[in-house]
Amino acid sequence: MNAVEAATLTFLAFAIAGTLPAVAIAGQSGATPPLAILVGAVETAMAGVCALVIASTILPWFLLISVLGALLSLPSLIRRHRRQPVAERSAHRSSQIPSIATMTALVLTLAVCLVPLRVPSVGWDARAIWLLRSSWFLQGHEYLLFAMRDATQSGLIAHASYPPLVSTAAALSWQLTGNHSDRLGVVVVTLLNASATLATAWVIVEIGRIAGRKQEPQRRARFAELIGAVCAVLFVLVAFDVFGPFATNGYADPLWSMAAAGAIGYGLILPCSRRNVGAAAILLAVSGLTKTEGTATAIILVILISTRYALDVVWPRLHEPPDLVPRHRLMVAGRALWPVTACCTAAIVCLSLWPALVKVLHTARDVNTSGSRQGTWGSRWHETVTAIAPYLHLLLLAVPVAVVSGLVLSRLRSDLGLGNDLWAWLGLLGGMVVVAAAYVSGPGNTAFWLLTSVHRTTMFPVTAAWLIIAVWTVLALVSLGAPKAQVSAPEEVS
Amino acid sequence: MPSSGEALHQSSRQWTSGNQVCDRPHADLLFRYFQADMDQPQAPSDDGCSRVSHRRRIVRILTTIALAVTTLVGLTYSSIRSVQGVTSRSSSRHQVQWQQDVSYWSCLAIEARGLVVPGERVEIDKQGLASKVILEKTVGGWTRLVSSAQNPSAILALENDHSERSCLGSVVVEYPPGSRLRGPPEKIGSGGSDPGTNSLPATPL
Repeated sequence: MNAVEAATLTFLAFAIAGTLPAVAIAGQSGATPPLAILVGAVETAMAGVCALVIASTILPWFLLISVLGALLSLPSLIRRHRRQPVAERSAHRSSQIPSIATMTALVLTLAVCLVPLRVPSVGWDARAIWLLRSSWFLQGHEYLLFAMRDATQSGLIAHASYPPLVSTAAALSWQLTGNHSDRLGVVVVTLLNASATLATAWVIVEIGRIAGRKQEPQRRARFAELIGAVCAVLFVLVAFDVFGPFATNGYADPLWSMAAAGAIGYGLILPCSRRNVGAAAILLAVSGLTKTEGTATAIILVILISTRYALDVVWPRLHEPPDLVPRHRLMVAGRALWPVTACCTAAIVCLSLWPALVKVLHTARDVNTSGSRQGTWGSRWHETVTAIAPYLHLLLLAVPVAVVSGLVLSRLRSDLGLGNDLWAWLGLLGGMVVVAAAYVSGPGNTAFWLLTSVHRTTMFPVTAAWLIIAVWTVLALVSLGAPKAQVSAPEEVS
Repeated sequence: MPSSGEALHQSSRQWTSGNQVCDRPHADLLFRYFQADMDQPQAPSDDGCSRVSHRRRIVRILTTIALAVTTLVGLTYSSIRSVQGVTSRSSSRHQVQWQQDVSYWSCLAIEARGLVVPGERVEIDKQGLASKVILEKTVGGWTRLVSSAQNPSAILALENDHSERSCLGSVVVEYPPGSRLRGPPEKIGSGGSDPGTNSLPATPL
């Protein structure tokens, strides 16, 4: 089986395994196919954990977890199907054409961005870390445990304890298809990058549609949707410019960066809803299971998303109903808060499982998180800022755009139910601070570390900044296309 | 006693309707403009303030147009750069270079598999960082890499060789355990053939 056939079969397996859980978690939308694939990839990571901790190889665990995932999703799907009125279902079906057209445009754009896949490039880290570990996962429990624990085996690559998703996805593709080649591994990682990009781009499409729903006549609504689709296409192209050669040579950085940016989109930009927070949860799982900095960023995003949802739940209860005494209002608000708190705690625990597991199993220590430090706090801080700054010149555009847009378009933004832009900026800053803190407080020589990684660790803030810019672009164009009365909500004028 | 929100609304209404408030200094007007009223709907007015609200509307529209143009130019410029990057990275020159990379690693893997079997306890030559890294990448996924104190069954090393059987000037060789790489190798890898000089593409880190 050649790499193309093998990758197709692998992604079919991911999609089949992930569809029911993805629909149960994030509902049905244009983002369902990429989210289903990403859920499939998360299931391979869970299978990898089981193979490491318990026994056997990755494939049997993947099959078991897929079946369990589908079974656990069924009650939620049946409940939702029963609740949805028949008329709404048929209306939903009839409104699929714009979604399909938009998805086709996005997939074609992605196809253009994936043309470099015809070059069989395998990146340095891809061969030395990600695909090497895939071979470990491929060989099952005993070998995997030896390789992860033994300092000689894992001493050179130095990142044995990195989260498993990229390696397990490639390992599953090898085991499933019998094609044990670096080429297939790279294609699988690249297609995962593409899936995360597609899911994130759908945030922009969704904003166009939300704006369209508030527009009359139909022509204006279609115009708003078209703006969303066009900006999403541009975002996909721009994302692959940010990733550069790392998009198609097997590196894990584009995947965690894009997944975290997508989580900002669904969790901090789109309106608060179960569907959106579900999509954010899937993307946070991908980010957290892909790379250590992705795990740290995902934890920060979980806290931010939970805070936004908590405020969304608590705020109305503190003000309504007006006849309740303040103490009762607080009690009502507190009762409404516990599901958000529980979900936040569960998400943080899940994201911390892999780092805890590698400690418990005494795997070889990671050079990025252990060992002695060189330089002072001040010198490391200076080196870090000097190295990071050239990669963040986009902020010179994004910050003024956000400030001016906040002044001019914030009203439209809140009318559409979108989150305040500050949430997205907090997410972006959180990820940046995590990375900068790792460089400053981490071990070893910062200068060398920065030289070999800063262009990749800054992918997340740059991608998130482009997402913020794209969202404001949609809002600005919608605002220009809409009649004045619709842009400004008249209800607050007395 | 009005709440702060009501007070804000009251003052903003006053600003849009009262002549004396319209005559405030420009800086103050600008501040209030952005602070509370920039994005507010315009109250109909038939006095001197209609000029201000008209101007305000024009400023708002012009700002939005400037925003839309700026962001669209940014997105489009980066999209064009992206397409240029994609075209450059998928050129036939890159394809030939990376095909050589594939042949090189495949050659090394074939030679190594001729010397040791999967799961075997192997020590790799640690005398040169380059050869150590290359051997780790070649056999690190299917042999058990151990130190000399952990009873390896073979020591693998890379040696210079420019014959037909070499992998771009190198060949994988096996030394007996405990030999400390002295004397001739016990076995020389075979089966792979990628002769020539090392012209592999630069791998971005």
